[in-house]
Parts: sequence; structure tokens; C-alpha cells
Amino acid sequence: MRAGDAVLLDAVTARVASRGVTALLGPNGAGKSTLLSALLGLRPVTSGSISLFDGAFGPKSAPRGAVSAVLQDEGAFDGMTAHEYAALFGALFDDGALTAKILATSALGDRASRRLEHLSGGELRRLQLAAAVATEPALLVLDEPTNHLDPAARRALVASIRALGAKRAVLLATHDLHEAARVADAVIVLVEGRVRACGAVGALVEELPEAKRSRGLEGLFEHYAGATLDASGAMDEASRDALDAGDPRASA
Amino acid sequence: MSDARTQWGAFWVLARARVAETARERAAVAFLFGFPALLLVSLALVFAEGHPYERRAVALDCASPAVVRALANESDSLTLYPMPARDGRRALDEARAELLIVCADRSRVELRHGPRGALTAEGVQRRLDRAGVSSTLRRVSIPKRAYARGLLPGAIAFGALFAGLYGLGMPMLRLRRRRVLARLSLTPLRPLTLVLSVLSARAALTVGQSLALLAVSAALFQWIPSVFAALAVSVAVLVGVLAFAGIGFLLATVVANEETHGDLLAASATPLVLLSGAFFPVQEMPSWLAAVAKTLPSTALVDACRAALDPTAQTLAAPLGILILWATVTLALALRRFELHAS
Repeated sequence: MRAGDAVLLDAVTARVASRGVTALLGPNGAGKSTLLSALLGLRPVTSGSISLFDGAFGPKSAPRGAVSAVLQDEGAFDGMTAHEYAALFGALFDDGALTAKILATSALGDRASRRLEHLSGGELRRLQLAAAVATEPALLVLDEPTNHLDPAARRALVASIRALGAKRAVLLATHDLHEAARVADAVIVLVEGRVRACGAVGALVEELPEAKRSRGLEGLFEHYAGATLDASGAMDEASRDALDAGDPRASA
Repeated sequence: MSDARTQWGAFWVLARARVAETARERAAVAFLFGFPALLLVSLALVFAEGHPYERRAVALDCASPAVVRALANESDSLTLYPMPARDGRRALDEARAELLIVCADRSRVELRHGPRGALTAEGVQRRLDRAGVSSTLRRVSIPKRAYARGLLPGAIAFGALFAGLYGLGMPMLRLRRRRVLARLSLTPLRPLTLVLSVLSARAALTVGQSLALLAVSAALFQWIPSVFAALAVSVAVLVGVLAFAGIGFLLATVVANEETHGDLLAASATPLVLLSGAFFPVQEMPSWLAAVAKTLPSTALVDACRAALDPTAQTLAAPLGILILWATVTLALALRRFELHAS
């Protein structure tokens, strides 16, 4: 994928299983959101192709409600209440029961009349997630859903994501390796627009050298990405310099 | 399930939510309905005796060639508006004319005026005397704060102008920045449904604002509009909001964020307001500028509001046609060009 002369994604080949959580890991600026946007049909793909559900559909032709998402830093309508937000999805999917279902799933029944801007970050994200899964999508895309949440809200959301993966494919973009370790069945490691590794977590960890194997997903990421991440998702300076210099670790 | 039913359901939820959003904000309600009314009342008090810079306007219901010839020489200081006596009387009542000249026949020319037009009437009488036309002066009572009636069309028009300019493009840019548009594009919601819901809510509130102004005018200035006038004003405001929303939305397609959009709107609004005919009569402008002004939606909106409130003054169809043309072209272009997902 290109934007003008800049190559945003290059040689990206990956598959996502129809069940379970696949974590899309990468530092800030790796191209995670760009890849998800292309998958959701929000950005055109300049070369190559994306197919959904065993090749039956493209990003824009999937059946209604089959693909859903919570986007990175997704905001809300001005002044809209939680009930109105839920009712919008009820109307869009022509299902009168959906409004109550979204409010119940998000546990916001008693705060339904609150305006979205008056909800906490965790409450808003719960509501958005509830709306996203209300139609029982076969593929749920979550782009950094825990950004800006407090630790308690993060833990609760991660637990929800784990449960959601039992019924469907969940593609979770994150730079938080601890968070990914708690939910991911599979990973895609993306660095500077290129896929460095893709597969089941267990199998990939098994292939790691002994020293890194014990560190689980952190060791896996460091091995394939040739980098470590700080809490904000940025690569440490040494990793960045190594990548810029074409260090062999980076192309592992 | 039909797509039309889905779109209608979503339209209704979104439009209702946007109206409710305004209704929940006391300050928004106060500004929307209270401020224009307060402004109208204040200006009516300031210009209680009519606008001091208004050129002397004479309503003329007279076919007598002698009278017309005599007054033609006064054309450098008077502007003659031929109209039936009934409409001329309304022009007096609305402080749009200082003097009404009515000729029952050549021997009975009557110069009807209010307190403000006494000097003008006496000057015209002297002019007619010199031309051999005898006339009588008749002082008539003019409602107090009559100029409010002249201000009302402009007040209503500018409410619709700004509601439209800021009411669609800016919310769409905000929703795009917050990625709400990208999220909604993953649902069956059509962009047109979203745009129509935003537009309808804005138009409904603005029509409500206009009717509130009419109510204030009726209560304070003893000017009770007919049902037809209220309906015509509502139609003019509705179409006006569409036209200016189209302009605001089209400008939103060439900028990346709300801040730049606000700058563009402010820059665009200034000439639109100044050339609208509300501050300077279009017919008094240089001919090339008048030609430009006549094509502007702001001029058409002011004219449409004037025509709606006073059907005898001008036709409603022509300005409405200009507004519909602007609305159609700008909204169609904006819908084609606006990107739901910022690249």
C-alpha cells in the first residue's frame, strides 16, 4: 500500500483463523492501523488483495454485520446519549431488541440517559464494543481498544476480548505485549510495514532460542521484530538504530 | 428488511438525537431562540424612528403623467416605488417608505405620511404645486417601532445563513476526525442518510427560530403575519439552510480540520452578508456589483424572506429558485467530494 510515494505496507501476507484472538503486534507507526483500515475497506489497496471468509468476500462486500470494529481513538457524536447510540445500531440493523442488548452488554442500563461525553473512557469503549458485537460478527477488528483506559478498565476490556474470541475471529492491534499475551492465540508481527512473523503463539514460541522462549510473547516479538517496546508502544532507541542500519536481527 | 426502512429508522434516530442535543443545552436554547429576538427588539428600539440613513422612499399609487413628471425631477433625492395604495400603506407601516402618494384623479392627489415623512411630504407638495398639480397632506398614524418590521426579514435570513454555513460541514469534519464516520461506514448507514439527518435537525431548529421571531414581532410590534406568510417564511428558511449548508459542506471538502474550515466560513460569510441587500440596497450598488449580488444565495435568501413576509413587494419564486439551484449544486458536489475517512 502506498500514500503518494511513501510505501505504507509492503509484502504483507497473513491469515487470520476463524476463531480466536489474533494479535497484530508492532511499534507505533508500524502500519497496524493502515493494515486494519485496508482490511475494513476504509483505505484502497494499491496492489495485492484482501479476502474474507475463505475468499468468499472482499473488504467491502462482506455480508451486513459480518465484519465489525472498534477503531483506534474512536470518538462519539456530540451530545448523544448512550441510549440514542444503542438505538442507532438497533435502527441500522432493523432489530428492536438490539438497543436493549447493547445497553445490557455494556452494563450501562442505569446510565443510558447519560451523554456519551459524560461517560468514562472505559464506559464509552464498553458501549462501542457492545455495539460492535451486537450483530454477532464473524470478524471483529479492534484497533488499540485499550488506549487511554485506566488499568481496571483495561483489565475488564481484555477479559471481554478473550471471551469474544471464543465465538469468532478477533483481530486485535496493540503495542502492549502484556495485554496481547493475555488474550492472543496467534500473532502477526508487523514492523515498518512488513510482516516479520505470523502464526500460532505456541508454535512460534517453540521455535525461539531457549533464552527467549521463557519470555513468551516478549521474547517472540524481540526475536522477530529485532526490537523491544516501551509502555507507550515506541521502539527503544537501540532497536530503532538497528532497524535503520539494517541490522540482521531486524530481518529475522 | 428493506434498505429504505433501515435508512429511515437511522435517519429518525440521528435527527431526533441532534434536536434533543440542542434541547438539553439551556445555553444553546437561549442563544438559538432568545438572542435573535433580543437583537430584533434592541435594534427596533435603537431605530425606533426608522433608519437614519435610509434613502427617502416614496410609494406611488398614481398613473397621472403630470405627477410622475413632477416627481421625476426629484429622483436624485427620492426613490419612487409604484405600488397599489394598500401595499404603500404597508410600506409606511414598516418604515420602508416615508411617503405614500395616492391619486384618486388628477384633481385629488393625496400625500399620506407619518411623523418622519412630514418634511418630505411638504417638499413633494411644493414640487407638485410648481407643476400645477394640487395636493393635500394627510398625516397618518404609524405603529411605534415600525422599523422592526423592516429588520425582521434580515434577522430571519441571517439566522438561516449561519445555521446552514456552520450546521453541516463542521459537524461532518468533527465526526470524521473522531473516526465516527469511518465506524459508521462499516454499518448499513448511507452517507446521504447521515447528511440528511444533520440537515433536517438544523433546518427544523432554524425554522423554529424564525417562527419564534415572528411570534415576538407579533407580540411586541403588533404585526401578526398571516398563516401563509408563516408558511412561506418556513419554506424560505428551509431552502436557505439547505443552500448555505451546501456551501459550508463544500468548503469542508477542501480543508482537513474544523479550525481551517471555520476560517474559510468566516471569510466567505463577510461578502455574503455585506452584499445581501440587507445593509446596502442592491439597486444602489455599481451595476457590476449588483449583478454579482443578485446571483448570491444571501441576496436570494433576504429577498425570499422579504417576499414571504410581504408577498406584494416581490415574488417568492425567483429567489427560491436561486436558492434551490445553489443547494442542489453545492450539496451534490460536496457529497461526491467529501471523504468519510481521512487519508
